Amino acid sequence: MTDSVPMIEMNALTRRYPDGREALHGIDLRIEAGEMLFLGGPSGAGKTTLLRLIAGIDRPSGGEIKLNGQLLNRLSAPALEALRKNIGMVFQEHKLLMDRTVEQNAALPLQIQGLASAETQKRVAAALERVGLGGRASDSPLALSGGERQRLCIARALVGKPALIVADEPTGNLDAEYGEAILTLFRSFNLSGVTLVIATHDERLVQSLEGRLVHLDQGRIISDGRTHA
Amino acid sequence: MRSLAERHVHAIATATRRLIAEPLTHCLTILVIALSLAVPSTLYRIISDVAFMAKGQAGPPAITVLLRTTVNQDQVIKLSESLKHHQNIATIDFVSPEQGLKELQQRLGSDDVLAGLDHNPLPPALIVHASSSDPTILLALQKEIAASPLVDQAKLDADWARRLHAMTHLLEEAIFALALIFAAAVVIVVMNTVRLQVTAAREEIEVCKLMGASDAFVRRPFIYFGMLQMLLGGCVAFGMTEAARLGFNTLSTEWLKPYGLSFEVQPFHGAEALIGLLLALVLGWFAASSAVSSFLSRLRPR
Ligand SMILES: Nc1ncnc2c1ncn2[C@@H]1O[C@H](COP(=O)(O)OP(=O)(O)O)[C@@H](O)[C@H]1O
Ligand SMILES: [Mg+2]
Repeated sequence: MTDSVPMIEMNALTRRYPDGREALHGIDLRIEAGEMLFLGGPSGAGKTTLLRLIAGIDRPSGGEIKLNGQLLNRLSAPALEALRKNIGMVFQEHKLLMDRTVEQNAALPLQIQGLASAETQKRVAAALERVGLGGRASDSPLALSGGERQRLCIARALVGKPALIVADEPTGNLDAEYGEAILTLFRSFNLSGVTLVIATHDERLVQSLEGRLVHLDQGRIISDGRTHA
Repeated sequence: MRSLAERHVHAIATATRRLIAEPLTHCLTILVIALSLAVPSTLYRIISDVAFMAKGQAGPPAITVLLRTTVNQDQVIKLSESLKHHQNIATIDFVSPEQGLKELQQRLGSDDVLAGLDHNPLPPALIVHASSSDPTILLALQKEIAASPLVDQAKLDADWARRLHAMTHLLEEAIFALALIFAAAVVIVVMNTVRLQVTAAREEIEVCKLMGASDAFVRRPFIYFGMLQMLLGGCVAFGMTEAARLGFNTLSTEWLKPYGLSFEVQPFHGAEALIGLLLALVLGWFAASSAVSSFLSRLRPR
């Protein structure tokens, strides 16, 4: 046992959906600050479910989950909002707003945080530059390719300068080449101190990167080790 | 960080953008709101002015008290002294049998009303002017006076005024009920348009909530949207009421002139208009926030 508080701590965590289906059965997991953790496993293993619990989108049905020592099980609405503002989320289904520009999409978290517009503009420009979308600021997301959209999602997760980024299948439908580029991007965030939890069904892809790999199957952790890199 | 004022300005800008994004739809909505606000307020304005005029025309209501012929001077003085202090009585006039006869002769235009009679048959009378025109108070007063052993009869004058009073009172209540119905209609109309707006923006709302937006942040532009519709509806309604008022006044002048009468409905004064507008804004706020809230409650973590 280390005495330091882990960034994320789960004890006997279960999650049952309202329809009665139990997607996670007793997960025990500690994730330290600064880690780069890949969450592997086949489709339906419970990866998305786990990420949603970390981001406070869903509530656990049993056990407990703590973020920086704070129990998330029964957080009040304002505490939950503060939590979500401090986590960068990359969603499997992107959740981009197609009636807004690339720039406006990336700016959304900062508007929610109530940042002044001058500072917002500066940070959005920097985030778009970082993911290689510097020249697309005023385009519609509809004009972006799959890989570019994914990078826009990452810019949006990044712009609030969160200590934790949670990404759900960020290499989802991308060609291997694009997928690797995305992972390299994440790796660079990790090197600058951001903790990352990345769910992927394609474990071969992540083997090229240095990191921890937790394999999930049918709502249980099957293995917990390092990638081969 | 943005100040609270900046956030509100941002929300108002968003609401305005949504409003002008679909001008035709929202113009129609605003027209419906305006009509719903204008109909009861125009009726109210006319009825309350008619009632006011009717009261003025009728003069202070009076009770004619016919005393028994056996009553003497002292008793009359005593009775009128005691009535003078009654809280619902303003003034009392005494009419002696001689005065009564004179008035009767004048009214009939004849000197020999008494032909064939050996004495004046008229009783002494009191004309009691009440201080209130409330029919229930008048009736109670009449009964009270009639109960005195000195009194033969107490008659309530100006029956038509009393009926008019009762009728305008009833109309006012009907208008109030009508206003409630129209208010409910306005709330439903605004709720529905806001609900449509919310549905159109559901993805945006969901994404904002996922990124930690508070309910207030999400709700704010929709509430301004609802209130903006109400504000515009209220302004159009004000124009409609004014137009209706001027039209009514032109007609009433035309109709009443031959009889030497005149009647004009007065415009709403500033305070009335302001209260009306505030009320409309409150309705808009209520309608919009309940439309958004029901959607937001579905997004809470389970
Ligand atoms: N909203 C939901 N309602 C009911 N069951 C769900 C819901 N979301 C996911 N599940 C079920 O939970 C299990 C895990 O799903 P998920 O976490 O999405 O897996 P993964 O992301 O690893 O593919 C699956 O069996 C899935 O059918
Ligand atoms: Mg998934």
